[in-house]
Amino acid sequence: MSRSMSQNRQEIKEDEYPYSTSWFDIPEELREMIINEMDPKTILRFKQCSKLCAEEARRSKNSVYKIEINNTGKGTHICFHLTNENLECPHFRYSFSESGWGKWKTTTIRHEKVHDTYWESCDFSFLFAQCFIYRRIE
Amino acid sequence: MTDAAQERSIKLLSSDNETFQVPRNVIRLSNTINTLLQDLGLDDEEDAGDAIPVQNVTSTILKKVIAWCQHHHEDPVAADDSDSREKRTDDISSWDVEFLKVDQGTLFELILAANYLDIKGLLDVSCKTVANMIKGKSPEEIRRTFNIKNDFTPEEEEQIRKENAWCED
Repeated sequence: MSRSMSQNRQEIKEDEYPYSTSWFDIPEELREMIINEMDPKTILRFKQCSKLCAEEARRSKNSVYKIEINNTGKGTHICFHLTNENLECPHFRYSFSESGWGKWKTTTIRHEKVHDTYWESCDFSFLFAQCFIYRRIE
Repeated sequence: MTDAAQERSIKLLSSDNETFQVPRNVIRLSNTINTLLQDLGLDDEEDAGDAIPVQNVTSTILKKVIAWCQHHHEDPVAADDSDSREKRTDDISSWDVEFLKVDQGTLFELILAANYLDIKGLLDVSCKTVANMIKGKSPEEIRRTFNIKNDFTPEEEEQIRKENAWCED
C-alpha cells in the first residue's frame, strides 16, 4: 500500500474489520467521484455509515431528498437532487424513477419560486399536473 | 502526432524502479504523460530519452495500467459526459469487469494511479466498480467492507436510520 493511502487511514481496531484497506485511503476528491457514481438508494445507505460519510453524501450531487407529491398515487417517490451550488441558484436538478429504483432520468429545470427553503410548493406540471412538494427530508 | 511518433515507445519507470517500454499510441491515454512529453518538447522526438519516472505508481500497478491502456487505446474517444448524463454503473464492459476483479487494495491503487496519470476511462470504470461494490449492501456491510468506523451514538444511528427508512420501501 502506498504511503498516501496509509496516511489517510482512520484508526480502526485491527480485528474489527476483515479488509486491510479503508474508504479513507482514497483521497477526498476521488471519494466524491465514487459517491457521484452511486445510485440514490446506495447513497442513503452509505450516509448511515458514519458522520463523515453522511457529510460526504450530503455534498454529493446525487444526494437525494424525499419529496411527496399529491397526485401520482401511493408510494410514488420522486428523488430530488440538489447540489451545493444549486442551493444558491434558481436551478436544480431532479431525477425520478419510472418504475422503482433503477432507470434514472436527469434534467435541469427552472424553479420559479426559490427562496431560502425548498419547502415551497412548486409546479411540475410538465411532468405531473400540478404536483406539489410539501415535504423534504434532510 | 506523426506516424513515427505513434510507432515509437516511451519508457516509464515505476516507483520501485522497474522500467516499462510502452508504445506511444498506447500511453496516449494518459494526459499526464502527454502533457509532460509536450512540455518537454519530446512528443515528436524519435528517442524520448530516459525513462519517465512515475513516482506514485508501483510496478505491479503500472503493469495493470499499461494492460488497461493496451486494451483500450483504440477505443473511440468518448463524448464529453457532463453532469446531465444519465448515471449508470452497469455499463462496464465485460473485459473491464474481469480486469477489475482484483483485491480491494489493488483496486484503490488503480484509482490513485488512474488519477495521477489522468487516464479518464480507467478512473471512471474503477470508481464505478467501487460504487458497485457498495450497491445492495447494508450500512453495516459497507462499514465492514471499507473499514469505516461507526461514530454515531446509538441514538444518532437510530435517528438517521429512521430518516432514511423510506428508501427501503
